[in-house]
Amino acid sequence: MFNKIYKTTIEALADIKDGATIMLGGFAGGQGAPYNLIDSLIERGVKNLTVIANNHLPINDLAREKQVKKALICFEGPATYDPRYRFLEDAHRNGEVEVEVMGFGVLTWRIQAWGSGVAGFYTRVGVDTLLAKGKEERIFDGEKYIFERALGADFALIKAYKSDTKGNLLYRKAARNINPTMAMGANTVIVEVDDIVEVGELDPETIVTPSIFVDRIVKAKTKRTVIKLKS
Amino acid sequence: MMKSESRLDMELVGFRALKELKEGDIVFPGFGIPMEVIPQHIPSELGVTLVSENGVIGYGPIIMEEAGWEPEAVIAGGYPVIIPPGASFISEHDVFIALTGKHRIDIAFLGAFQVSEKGDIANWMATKRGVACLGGAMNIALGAKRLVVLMHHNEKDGKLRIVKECSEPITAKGVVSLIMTDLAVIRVTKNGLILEEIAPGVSVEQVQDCTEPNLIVSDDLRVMEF
Repeated sequence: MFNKIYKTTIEALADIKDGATIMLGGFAGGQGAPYNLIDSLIERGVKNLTVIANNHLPINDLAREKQVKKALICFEGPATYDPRYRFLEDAHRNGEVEVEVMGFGVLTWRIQAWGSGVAGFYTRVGVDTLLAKGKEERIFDGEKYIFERALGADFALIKAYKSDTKGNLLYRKAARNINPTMAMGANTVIVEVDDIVEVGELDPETIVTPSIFVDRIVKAKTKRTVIKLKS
Repeated sequence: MMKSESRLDMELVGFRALKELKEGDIVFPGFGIPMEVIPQHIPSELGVTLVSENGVIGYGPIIMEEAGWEPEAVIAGGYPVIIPPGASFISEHDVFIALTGKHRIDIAFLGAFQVSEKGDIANWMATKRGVACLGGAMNIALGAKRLVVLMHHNEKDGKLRIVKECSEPITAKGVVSLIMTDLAVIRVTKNGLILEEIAPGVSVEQVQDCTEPNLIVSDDLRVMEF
C-alpha cells in the first residue's frame, strides 16, 4: 500500500543532493515556515543549494551554515539590521551568495507559471525600476510590461496545518501564505504538518491543497512560534 | 533648519490619514506608521476592510499585549491582530491578485524614502545598507486606486525626500496621489505639487525650504486637522 508518510523529517529529505533547487514556505515574520524540515536540511549538510523563499528567515540558518549558493527572495533582511537574522544579507555582501530579488506577487505568479507549464507572463510590476534590467519589455495597449520567466524547483518544503494520510492539506490562518503555491511549483513536494488524520476526516469542501500535489508528509516534532518583528 | 518642535508626531499624521477613508473602502495599510495607527483607530461605522500582504482579509486592531494572541493570526511583519467575524485567509498568490490589479484596493498607505514631483515612489532599497526590502511594495504601488505616502518630510540631517527626481531605487513611477508628512499634506498633480495643508505652527516658507520642487500653494490652504 503506497504510503506518503515519513516518520522523520531527515528521512523525508534523504534524496536531496548538493546543488538542488529548493523552495521554502513561510512569510516574513516567520509564520508558516517548515522549521523542522529546514533543521533537517541543515543537519543533512547538502551544499550549493539554490533556495527560493519569500523572505530571509527560512534561509537565515542555511546561510549561516554556508549551504546556499543562490537565493531568490523578496526580502533580504529586516528593515533594521538584526544580528540574529543577518546571515543571508552578510553572505550576499561578502559575495558568498548570489541574490535575486523580486516582489511577493511576482514570486508567487512565477511559481504558478511553472506549475501551469507556461513560459512566463508580462507584468507592469517592476517596469522602469532596477528589476526591469535585462528583461524583455513589450507594449500592450500603450503600457509598458516586462517579461517574467516561470520559476520551479526540484523540491518544495512547505508547512501546513493538517494532512490526511492521502496528502490533502488544510492550512491555518496566516501560516497559509505561499505554501499552497509552492505545493504546485516543484517536482517533489514535502509537507510538514501539525497533525495527520485519517482519510475522510477532512471535509472535501475545505481542502486547500489536494493530495495530487503532495508527495511526502511528516508530522512536526517541535512547534516554533512566529518571530515577532516589532515589539 | 526647521525647528523640531513644530513637526508633528508621525502618529498624528496617521490620524490625518484616517480621514481619507470612505465608507466601504478596501484598504491596504503598509509597514510603519500606516500599520501602527490605521487598524487601531478606524471608525467601525465606516465598514472598511483591511487587507494584508500575507493573505489576511478583514483583520482588526493590532494586539499590543504580550499574551492573548496566536502565532498564526498575524499580518505582514509578524504583528498579531484580532480576527473579527467576516475575516478570511487566502494564499499570498491570491491576495496579490487583489493587491495588484487596480480593481479592488481603494486606497493604500505606504511609507517612502523619497517621492518625486511626478509621483514616483522609492521605498524598497535602503541604499545605505544595500539591502533589498521589496516585499509587496511594487505590486501595491501599482494596484491601489489611490496611493497615499506617509513619511517624515525630510531626513534628520536635512536631506530632502520630496524631490524632482528620485535618487533612490524606484518602486513604481507616477503612482502617488497624496503625500502626508510631519509638516504638510501635498497633492501630486499633472501640473505639479500642490500644498493643500500645513501642520499647526508651520509656515509655507518653512515647508518649501524642505522641499526640492516648487510647491503651488492651494487657494484653499488649510491647517492639518486630526
